[in-house]
Amino acid sequence: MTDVLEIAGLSVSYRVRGRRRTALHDISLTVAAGEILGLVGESGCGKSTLANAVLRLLPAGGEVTGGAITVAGAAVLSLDDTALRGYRGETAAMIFQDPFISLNPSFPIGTQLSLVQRAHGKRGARRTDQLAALAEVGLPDPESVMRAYPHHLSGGQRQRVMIAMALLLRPTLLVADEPTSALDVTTQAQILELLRALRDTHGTTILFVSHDLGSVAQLCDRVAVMYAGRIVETGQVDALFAAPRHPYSRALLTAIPSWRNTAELVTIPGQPPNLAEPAQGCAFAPRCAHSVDVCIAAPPPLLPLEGGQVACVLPELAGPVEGRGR
Amino acid sequence: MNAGVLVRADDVRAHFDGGSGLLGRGRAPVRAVDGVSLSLPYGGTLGLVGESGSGKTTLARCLLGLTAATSGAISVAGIDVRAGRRGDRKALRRAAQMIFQDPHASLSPRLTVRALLTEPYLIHRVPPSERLTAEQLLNMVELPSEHADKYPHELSGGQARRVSIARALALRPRLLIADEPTAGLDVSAAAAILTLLRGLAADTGLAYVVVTHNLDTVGYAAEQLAVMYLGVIVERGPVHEVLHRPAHPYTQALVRSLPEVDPARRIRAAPLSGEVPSPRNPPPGCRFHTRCPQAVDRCRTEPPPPHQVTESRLAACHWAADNMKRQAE
Repeated sequence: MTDVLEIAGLSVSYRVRGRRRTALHDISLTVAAGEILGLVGESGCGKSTLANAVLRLLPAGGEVTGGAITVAGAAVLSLDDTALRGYRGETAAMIFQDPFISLNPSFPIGTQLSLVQRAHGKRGARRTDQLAALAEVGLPDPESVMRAYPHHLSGGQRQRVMIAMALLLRPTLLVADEPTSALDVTTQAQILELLRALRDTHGTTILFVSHDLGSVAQLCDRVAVMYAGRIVETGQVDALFAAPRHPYSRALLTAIPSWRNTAELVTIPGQPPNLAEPAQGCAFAPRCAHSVDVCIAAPPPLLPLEGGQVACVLPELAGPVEGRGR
Repeated sequence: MNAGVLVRADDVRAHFDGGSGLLGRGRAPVRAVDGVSLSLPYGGTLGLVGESGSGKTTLARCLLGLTAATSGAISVAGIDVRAGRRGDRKALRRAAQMIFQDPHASLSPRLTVRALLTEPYLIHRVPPSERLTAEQLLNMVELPSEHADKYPHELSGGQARRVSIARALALRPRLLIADEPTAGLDVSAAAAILTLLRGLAADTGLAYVVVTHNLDTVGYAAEQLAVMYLGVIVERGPVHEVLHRPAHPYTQALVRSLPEVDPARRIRAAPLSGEVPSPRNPPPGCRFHTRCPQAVDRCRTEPPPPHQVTESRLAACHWAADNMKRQAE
């Protein structure tokens, strides 16, 4: 299988009050055609920065300081403005946590869909395409949705509209940043089903960014776990969730409450990493129960291990998640 | 009256009218809470769950008199919440406290943590001998005492949440109502808050109500569960019995919609389609019938009364008994 998304040695930093702070350290990651990759981690780990970098949507002050991003053969970081406008939407599209912010409150949905088509020079059966896209994402009565303004729609419906908007141009890669975090569980299940159907019918490659390990377990084929601006573990979803290798992945999985299990949750000791003072060695070492001298000296490289990759000097310590068996 | 009952709500309704002014006049009221009865013993823990728009937050606010119920009876720690006498209100604030969803919005940015934690004592004129120090309160929520001299903006989301819990605990209430206590928190911070709440209940006999849309949170942090849909409680009982063998089709759908952290338990098709109807104009009969896979004609006309499905459980569904039997097989 060919890789649709290829990130090689990517580093990103932000200028905060005149000082540079590194948000991503030397990230390398690939997503194969038609694959759904889950990018997980806690707030501040850099997962949204990575997602934004793929669309060249880094906020002001953010800067790529090294590395390359290739999407469907296009060298994303060297696209000029014209090429970038075509790239966004036609090659790679993005949906966000809060669709209300992404939609213009002053125009009906139909107008906003037309704007997308016009901006990308689509001619011909525009209206038919719009209705088809709205129907495909499971919105009942697409005609009335076309006339509706964003505030007429519920959160779940707005997220469906955003996905329909992305569908209009049939992008190769869809980047979804916490698309279900603001939704109720019943609606969340519907949106996850919709994303899976998108991949199954159109072969869309999806980068699914989430802090919700439940949604990732439900939807993704493969997972990458991030901590303090680095990828600490990647693997097939079944293998990684059954037997996480990195102590941080393991800690995350044991800290999730489940109604099936009332045993005391194992919380992660210590404080989340301070990005202003990056650690010399492994960023997780101060909170890790297994850390040894070598962990503090230098960050462990991400090395291949049994179908995945782990950035830990002691991966042999790992085993199945115990105590809170699921 | 039973001395062991801390909270008793009887047929509580909270209707908001269409609004004054040109647009609101003549519109049907929003029936946010529409006939809810529940009780909670001293030291009990209850999870109140439902989707957005189910009325769970409105009900929680009614219990503390923060939103005026439009009918029904509510008593908390023997105080008639709806009577609204001044002395009663102050006593109610000492007996019951609420922590809100956004801790940064509920903590004044101008006060230090120490001032925030001791302010309730000034308001309630608590004699110094009965006060806890800021350090003692921080200790109760497992925060280091050096946080006493910080301002809210210097705290992380999880730390701010702990400070708002500490502030709520200052008056040693018998009841704490927590609205989405883990919303917006990372996995590890959320786990710590839930473990803290459980510990407080076990160590100090504090009763609490957790208002949330997250069944996993409830399963971990509460003993009793009440599931709300469009302003009414559709199922109630001990949390694990209900989640393992839900009697109401809505509860069943909620449990099956949960994204479990286990790729082996993948949901193939979303268990519930459609959206919650408007609380301005709730469907006749059973409110859930428009989305219910089991709905028959009777459900469309006749509102199901709460059926006693086991000694400790109620479910408002015509099929509740059948559903219980089917799951037992």
